[in-house]
Amino acid sequence: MEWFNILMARLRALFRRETVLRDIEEELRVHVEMETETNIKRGAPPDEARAAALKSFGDPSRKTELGYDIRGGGWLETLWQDLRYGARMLVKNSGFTLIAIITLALAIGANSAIFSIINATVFKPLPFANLDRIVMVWERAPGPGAERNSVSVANYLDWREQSNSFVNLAICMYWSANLSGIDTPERVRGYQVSPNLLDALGVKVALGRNFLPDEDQPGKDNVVILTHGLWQRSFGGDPNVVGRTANVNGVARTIIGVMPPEVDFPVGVELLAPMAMTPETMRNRSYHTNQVVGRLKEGVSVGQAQSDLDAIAGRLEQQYPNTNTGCGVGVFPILEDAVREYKTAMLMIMATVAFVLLIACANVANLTLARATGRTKEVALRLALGASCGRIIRQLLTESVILAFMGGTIGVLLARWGVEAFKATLPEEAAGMMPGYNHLGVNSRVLVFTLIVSVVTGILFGLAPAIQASKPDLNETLKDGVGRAGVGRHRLRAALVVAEISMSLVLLTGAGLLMKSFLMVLKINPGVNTDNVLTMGITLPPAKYENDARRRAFYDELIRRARSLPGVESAALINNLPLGQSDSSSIFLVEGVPDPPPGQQFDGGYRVCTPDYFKTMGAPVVRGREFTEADTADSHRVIIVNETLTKRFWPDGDALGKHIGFANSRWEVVGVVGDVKRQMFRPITPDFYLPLAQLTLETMTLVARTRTPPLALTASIRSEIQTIDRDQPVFDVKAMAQVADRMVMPFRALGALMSGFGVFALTLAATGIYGVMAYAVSQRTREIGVRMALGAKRGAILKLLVVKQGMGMTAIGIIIGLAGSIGLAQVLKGMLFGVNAIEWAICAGVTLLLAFVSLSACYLPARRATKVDPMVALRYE
Amino acid sequence: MTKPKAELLQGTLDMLILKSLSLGPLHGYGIIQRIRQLSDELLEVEQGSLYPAVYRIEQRGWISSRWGVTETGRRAKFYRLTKAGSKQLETEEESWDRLALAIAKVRKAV
Repeated sequence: MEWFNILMARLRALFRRETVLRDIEEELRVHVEMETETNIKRGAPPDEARAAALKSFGDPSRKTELGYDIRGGGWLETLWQDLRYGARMLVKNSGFTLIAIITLALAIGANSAIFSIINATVFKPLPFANLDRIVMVWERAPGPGAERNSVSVANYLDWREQSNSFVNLAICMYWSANLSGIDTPERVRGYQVSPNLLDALGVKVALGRNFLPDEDQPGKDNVVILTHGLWQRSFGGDPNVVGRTANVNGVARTIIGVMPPEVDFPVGVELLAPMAMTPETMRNRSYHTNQVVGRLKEGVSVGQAQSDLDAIAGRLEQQYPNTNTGCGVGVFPILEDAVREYKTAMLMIMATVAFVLLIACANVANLTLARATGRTKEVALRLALGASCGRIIRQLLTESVILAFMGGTIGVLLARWGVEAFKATLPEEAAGMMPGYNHLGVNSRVLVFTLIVSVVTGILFGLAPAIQASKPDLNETLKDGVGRAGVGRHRLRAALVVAEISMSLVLLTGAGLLMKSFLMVLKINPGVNTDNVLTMGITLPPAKYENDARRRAFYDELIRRARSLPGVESAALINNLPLGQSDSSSIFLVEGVPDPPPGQQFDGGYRVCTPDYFKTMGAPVVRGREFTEADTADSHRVIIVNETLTKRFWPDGDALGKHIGFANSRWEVVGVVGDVKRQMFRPITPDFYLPLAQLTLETMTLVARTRTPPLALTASIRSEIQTIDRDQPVFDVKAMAQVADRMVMPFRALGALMSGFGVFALTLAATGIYGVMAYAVSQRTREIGVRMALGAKRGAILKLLVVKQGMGMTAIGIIIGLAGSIGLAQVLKGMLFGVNAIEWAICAGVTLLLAFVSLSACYLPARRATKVDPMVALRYE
Repeated sequence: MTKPKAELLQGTLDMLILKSLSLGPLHGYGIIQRIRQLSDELLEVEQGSLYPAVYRIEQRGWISSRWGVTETGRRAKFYRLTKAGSKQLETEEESWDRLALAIAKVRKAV
């Protein structure tokens, strides 16, 4: 607590300087008088007594100073003085101050904005306590890219029963739920979960209660828990919502609880219901549709849980060779899983803005150095009067920090605005993809970050100039000459410019690579024509549509009505859109090809569609035909396959007439269609299509090729659906182009962002070069005058100045920058699509751009210098 | 008069000041007198070292000061020990004793 007392004392003294000084003086004076008295008592005459006392005491003003050193404001006071002085100086040089603050505000603001985004989505997206105890458990299939497979219920149950590593192991399955009985029926993102899910996550309901352990028994499971968002939105935040009924998929369920806000797991969840454990469900080992999350016991590590489950998986493989061969387990901490998809991109952006900040620092450092030239006299004077080097440096550094701090304050405001803009431009599904998206904003953490960054920035760009400025050649400067210190200063500035150029080069190359990646992505051929196609999803609740016939009736009526609309060219239904968020795959057998051993089954995309689907989507039927009305529930089973499938299994023969085995039936191939991409960045697989009439699913997506822009027809199609069934909502209404765009959007956004930063960096570098050149040229004005007077041609001088000085810096900067770019390309190689290790075109282009910008920036001041009358130049001081 | 003067270390001076004030409040000059008295003229504190030490101690909150009047009617600044100060005095005396003991042991070794 001592230091606290001292701090307080110094603080007090700061405000009462005069009083403290006088107090000390008085006390010392009294001391001298007392000593004088003593001397007198000892017999000395008054004058001598006083003289002796004074002598033994020493120099009073010096003693006062020493006393004040201890009692006075101390470092606080010097700081305060520095602040006031610095502020005064900054106001005096308002031009410099303004430019510096703007530059810093933009750079620091960008960093804050990016940090707040990263903070929400990467660092703390999940608000659960003891996050490190929570893990995701996935199935693992052999082969690449199969580390995280969805889990089947039976496997989950066995893991739960046989494992000792978990306090809770919970399962959840995405469940598209139609919510009605409220103002507007809507479809919500529901999840069917085991009753212990919230326990596994460590979440307590805000209202009501959690599920009871027996509520996963069929018959007891008519309960739901709402999320905070859904409660507010669709139930008006009703405080008495617990106990009310919600009509979900046509079945009345009791609302038993509301989750606290900010719980966003599973991602995008709006509604929780217990997963009914019917005997069928519990036995099901082949439908892999679930996510499993668990809470590790105290003291159990992820590795231990992994080994534990590996052993269990091994046993299951033995027990159920048909379904579980090659089926392993993967345990991952939940945070890692959640951010996996976009973590690298985010970190890359963070690195970029950090770079931009460095460039901005170099620029402001250059500006500071330039200004320091004007202050050499002031500094020299202070040094001559006895100020220490350290004091000067401290004072100059304080100015820099003030600048950075002000830049940072404005930067925070810019960041707030930027983050809001970012939220506005992201599509709505981002909320479903990025946990933590919902509480994205400039919060206290971001403010602290900004503060630290500001201070570090201030020191970073202020230190070198401050040290430089505190070492002028005293004699020369005071004598009004052009000091030799100018050379050292110039070298430093040149070095800064070289740094700026090389960093800009790296940044611009990064931007170029991203843009190229974006263009390559655009070129991917999805296999369908995505223009003018409207899509929307429909789920037919089993309560209302209990069997295939009823569903078929609805679908047939829907297609009929949709086709009859004037704006619609053709319409069809499909279970999963190409390039979409949902995808289905299945194993199958091929006639004429021996059945593969378990673990190496044939696997491909499994699609269900209506007649005219391929016509609607613009996928070419290369052999045979589409499904027709003649393919009904009672006619023989037919199937359409894609080209990849035929090439793989029947490369020589004709696919038509052959059979595929699926779901315990044989299906005859009646058509071959062109390859369609299931997922944007995955290779084409052997896919097959079944007619909806013969395999009638509950959830389908309507696709309609329109004559007008697709979304315009949403209302008419919706009303047709309402005519068939008043309570039937649709979800995910989108134009196909939007679906495809969703995959492209990150590349486009990244490319645009990086390009923006690249341009900013380029501007900074250009101004930096310009400033240094202008200064260098002004230093040599006299020399130029002499040369011109002696007959040198303007061109020669320009060459001298521009080429030797200016472009020299640029060349070095470019060489260093190229080295950095190559390194960057290596790093980005894995992350970017369609980008090779060394993209010569991009490197060359960026280099030329920089060289051109440099050249212009050098040329202008040099040109101006040669225009000056030699006589004037000669007399220039 | 020649008196053998003992050299004083920084921390020791603090302890002596605190000790002298533990016997009653004093002004600066008085502290010097008392220390001289108590040590039988062996310790003479220079004013140059006294006041900085006193100010430092005061900043730490071990002594407090107040302007008062001496017996001779002169205005002077008096210092008195605070509660924190007397605790500090105890601590310092203990560590000093330990140090002295340790050094004595080393000295006694042959």
